[in-house]
Amino acid sequence: MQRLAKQLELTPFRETAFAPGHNACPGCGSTTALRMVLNAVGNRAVFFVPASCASLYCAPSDTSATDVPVIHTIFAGAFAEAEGMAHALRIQGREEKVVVWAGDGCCYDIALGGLSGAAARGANILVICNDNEGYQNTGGHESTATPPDAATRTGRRTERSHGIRRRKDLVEIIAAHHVPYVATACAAFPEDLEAKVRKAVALEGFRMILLLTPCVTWGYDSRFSVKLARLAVETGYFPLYEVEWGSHYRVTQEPAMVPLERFTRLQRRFSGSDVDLLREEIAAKWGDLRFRCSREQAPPPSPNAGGLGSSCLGITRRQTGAS
Amino acid sequence: MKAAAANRRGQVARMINGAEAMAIGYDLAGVRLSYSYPITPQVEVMEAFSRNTRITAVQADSEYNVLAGAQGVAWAGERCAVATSSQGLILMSEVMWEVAGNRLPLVMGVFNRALKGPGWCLGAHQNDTLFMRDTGWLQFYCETAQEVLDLLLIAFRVAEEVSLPAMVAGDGFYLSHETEEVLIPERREALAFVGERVRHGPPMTDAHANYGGLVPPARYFRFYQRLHHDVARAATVFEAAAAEFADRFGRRYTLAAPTATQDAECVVVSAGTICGTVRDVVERRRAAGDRVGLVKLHSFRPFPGAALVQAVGSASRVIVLDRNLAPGLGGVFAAEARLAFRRHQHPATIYSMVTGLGGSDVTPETVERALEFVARSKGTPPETLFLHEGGIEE
Repeated sequence: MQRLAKQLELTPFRETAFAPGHNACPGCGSTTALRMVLNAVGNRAVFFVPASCASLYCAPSDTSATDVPVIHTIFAGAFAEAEGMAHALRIQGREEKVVVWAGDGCCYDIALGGLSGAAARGANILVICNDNEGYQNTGGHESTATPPDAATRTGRRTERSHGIRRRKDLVEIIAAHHVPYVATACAAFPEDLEAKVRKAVALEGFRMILLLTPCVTWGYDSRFSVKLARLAVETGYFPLYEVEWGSHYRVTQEPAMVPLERFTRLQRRFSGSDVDLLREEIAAKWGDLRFRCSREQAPPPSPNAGGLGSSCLGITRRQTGAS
Repeated sequence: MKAAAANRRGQVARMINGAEAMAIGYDLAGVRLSYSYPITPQVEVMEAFSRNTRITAVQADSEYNVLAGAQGVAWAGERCAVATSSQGLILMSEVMWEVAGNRLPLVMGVFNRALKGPGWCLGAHQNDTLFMRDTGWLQFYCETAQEVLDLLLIAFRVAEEVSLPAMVAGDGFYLSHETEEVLIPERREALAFVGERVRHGPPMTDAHANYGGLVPPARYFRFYQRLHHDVARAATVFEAAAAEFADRFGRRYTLAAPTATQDAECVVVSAGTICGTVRDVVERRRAAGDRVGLVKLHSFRPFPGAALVQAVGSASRVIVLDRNLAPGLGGVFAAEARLAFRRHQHPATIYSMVTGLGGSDVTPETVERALEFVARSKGTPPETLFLHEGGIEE
């Protein structure tokens, strides 16, 4: 394992880019993931953070928890701001990578138009969607990333969905912009996460990685945040995969498909929920995914930077995770 | 303006409209990136950006993201061209506050257009820019295409010196689409005036820092206190930059520009293209022996209150013509003028006349009617009057 990590230059537990002392909640799943992302991106970068928990926890009490400049922005402006900076850095001959760390409320809802615009224009930015499945900074409110029938502070999702049983699929929406790279990842599979971030950073153009980041507003014991991320993958609830140029799909972690209840029963938001709705969604998602992975087509365009091959850095193997 | 002919200094005269003048202004300021989104009547500026091979022209997905994108460019210390109108500007509202709060010296060109309240109306109407009153953006207003070009260059100097964004505004269509002779400065001269293009500084020079995150209330308070003083300071900075501009290019600008106000009994105050019409009337009236004058306001923020009161001189009656309306209050420039006259203890009677809304014509006859009304009026005038082509109403 260590030899493999060295060979792949994977160092998931280095802690240089995100200092302790940030003021996120105990059990926050997003800070664990952010630390891994910051480490994988490296310090020649600028981060943009639209309104979210990270607006608060990156800069507690007039200090900075991060090792790179972080620019905090209004909710819907981060993608365009990052794009503008990337344009300026290019014409100035600078090499800093521009990264946006945005929540699901931003990506799925209020700034979806801006996200789509940045993707369609080929903005040279890496977007990390910190998907904790709701407006958690305001205390646990429903976003379009909230799973079916999950309880929020304003009721259950299905109460207002008029027969729509599956969530908006952001990865598919962005993949349909035919951008170089879209992937999913989570902190319970740090090597997979780091390899995807590194791959994305080495590419030019618009890239997005959607991270599932458990949030304590889901109603779990704070020690379970990584375990929940892991169970989300192992139950099939959150597939780990990547899409190149909108057409080349690859599952990077085959789930064992352990019973879904192992994931749901640890969270109060699913207490009293119709778990079959989730099962339906998971089955439909995997059906789509298997179909897309199996399609035969010409190889994707060769990457335009970094000299990488078209396959991800050896991340098809089964991983042990970090719970 | 007489100096202009004698002092061209390599400037080339061209027949262009205000939209082209705006695009040329940005080019002369050395911008390498532009952000815009199609909207009438700004869209000709965007077309000019796209024709310019020195500029990477980005067409964003909304004006909201036009300004967000431009803000990102400004974060990197790079100048950026931005232009909009009307709905586009008010869509930017949220970003306007952030740009000013971040003290980023963007310069944005605006061709004023009516907003969709009761219905679509595309004419000139200043409520789009005036809606931004409290954002911290500086606001300069133009009468001619020449002024669009010149004030854009001056605005870059002022914005970058006080670290605040600035809008350069002109009446839509009347300025954006009307062709007139404009003297275009030499490229090298213009760049020498505007100064160094790239500003090196944070955030790129300071890795361990967060910008625009959570700040304690006391610090937030201080930020705005400083911002307030810097908006006010911009008046002095403007006059200094305008003096240098006059030395280089022969055209002298001042925040409150008087015409024939000496010994005037009645002075008209306005901003934008209406001033040209008023000046025409004033010159004819003066020739007929009437003691009337004009003060053209080049700026709304900073509001040149002291300069305005001084320029009005000993006149006892002041008419403020506003191509805008704050419903329930009246003309926006008039409201600010009232404060200035009170603060400087000037006893003139102020006549607030709202006119030209939605781009309706303000003709010499309209202005004559206003002057006649004031000459005849006795006692305290109504707080706001509506000056139409056909008459004056409360």
